[in-house]
Amino acid sequence: MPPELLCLLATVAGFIGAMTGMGGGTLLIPALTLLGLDIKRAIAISVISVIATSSGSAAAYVRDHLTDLRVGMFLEIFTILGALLGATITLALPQRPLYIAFGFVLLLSWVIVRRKRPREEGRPVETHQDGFSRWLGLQGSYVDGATGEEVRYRGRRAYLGGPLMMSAGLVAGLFGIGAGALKVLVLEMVMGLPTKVATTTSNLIIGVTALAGSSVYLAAGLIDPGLTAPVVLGVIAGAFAGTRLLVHTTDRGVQRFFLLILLLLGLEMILRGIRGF
Amino acid sequence: MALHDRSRSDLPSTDPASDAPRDARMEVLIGDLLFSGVVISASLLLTGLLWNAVKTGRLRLDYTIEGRDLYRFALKELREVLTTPKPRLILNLGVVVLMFTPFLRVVTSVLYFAVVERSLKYTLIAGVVLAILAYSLLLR
Repeated sequence: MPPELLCLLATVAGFIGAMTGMGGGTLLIPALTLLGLDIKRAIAISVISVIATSSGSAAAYVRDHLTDLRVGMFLEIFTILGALLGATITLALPQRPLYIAFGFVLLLSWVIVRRKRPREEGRPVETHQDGFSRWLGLQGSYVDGATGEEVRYRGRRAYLGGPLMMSAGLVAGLFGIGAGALKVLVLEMVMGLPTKVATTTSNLIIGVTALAGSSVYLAAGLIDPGLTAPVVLGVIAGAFAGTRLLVHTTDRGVQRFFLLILLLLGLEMILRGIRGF
Repeated sequence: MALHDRSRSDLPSTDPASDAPRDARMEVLIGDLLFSGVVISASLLLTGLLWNAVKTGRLRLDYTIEGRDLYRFALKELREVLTTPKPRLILNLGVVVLMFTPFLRVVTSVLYFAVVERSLKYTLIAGVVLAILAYSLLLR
């Protein structure tokens, strides 16, 4: 398994991940398994690379005061527990169901990305904030970079957000991905955070969730630094390039390409799981 | 030292804008921490790979980290690398630094909530996160 090839694949995955906002893990793991890597090792490698990409991007968002650290802190309790459980399950599962399950995750991602319409910045609706969320102090504000105005918001339904985040963490730990899409969904739709806060806070949460997952894989002896290093470096490089380019290209072409790959890889993983590769 | 809760849950309508200066310092600190962690880790990983390539003529290092918990792993690596440095150890340290980065972020948050903001509530919340993480890193 040549490290240069891994690095290249990782760079592509990181690049596409950054451009589509879907994260690298989703594409990285199938690609690694196609190279012949054991799926559990691929998951372990991916989960470490997720720490890198999430921390890197979270650094910028946090410094821009877009992330809600309180919401993040509270929800991390749940995502971490979910991730620990998910990673443990993965260790126990035989390979073929993992392939099939991962294939479905890819197909589900395909559905989600397909339905995504470019829409306006999610403005929070001033609705009633439940007592628990108020007690948690989940209100905040951020300055919209585009308009310069200060947007205030109040997070709510933390009692629902917590348990839901646990399932997002479960998916993350199970499959070694960031599961950012799920997290943003909960933050935005359930807890009523504005889009920018939701996406940046999700990013922060992903890092700690990935750490929890990786600790399980480390304990299981699945971490191969010789392979992990080129992948991590590649993903960082790819994500960096991807975020630079994001401003300059219309993402139509990339999205279509990405959708096609998701579909193909998803079907292929399921087939492999069924046939026993 | 008594920690008193400075969050405004007693007021019917809170002013989120005043949270901004409170958090601003922590946010810059955390941002820098995360960024440094990634940069240091990437540098170690790259150094390990290149050093190995120079030493052995191949890029591939073929080994896995034996299942163990992160603390003992980190301590062992640090001790070894200071006495007999090897590319493999640099590589391992790169992984260690990367894994400790989000961990340190949580530690920083706990300290910040406890000492600077003096919020019992969030010290506890962050403390729970830290406790679970710390426990998970003890797994082996």
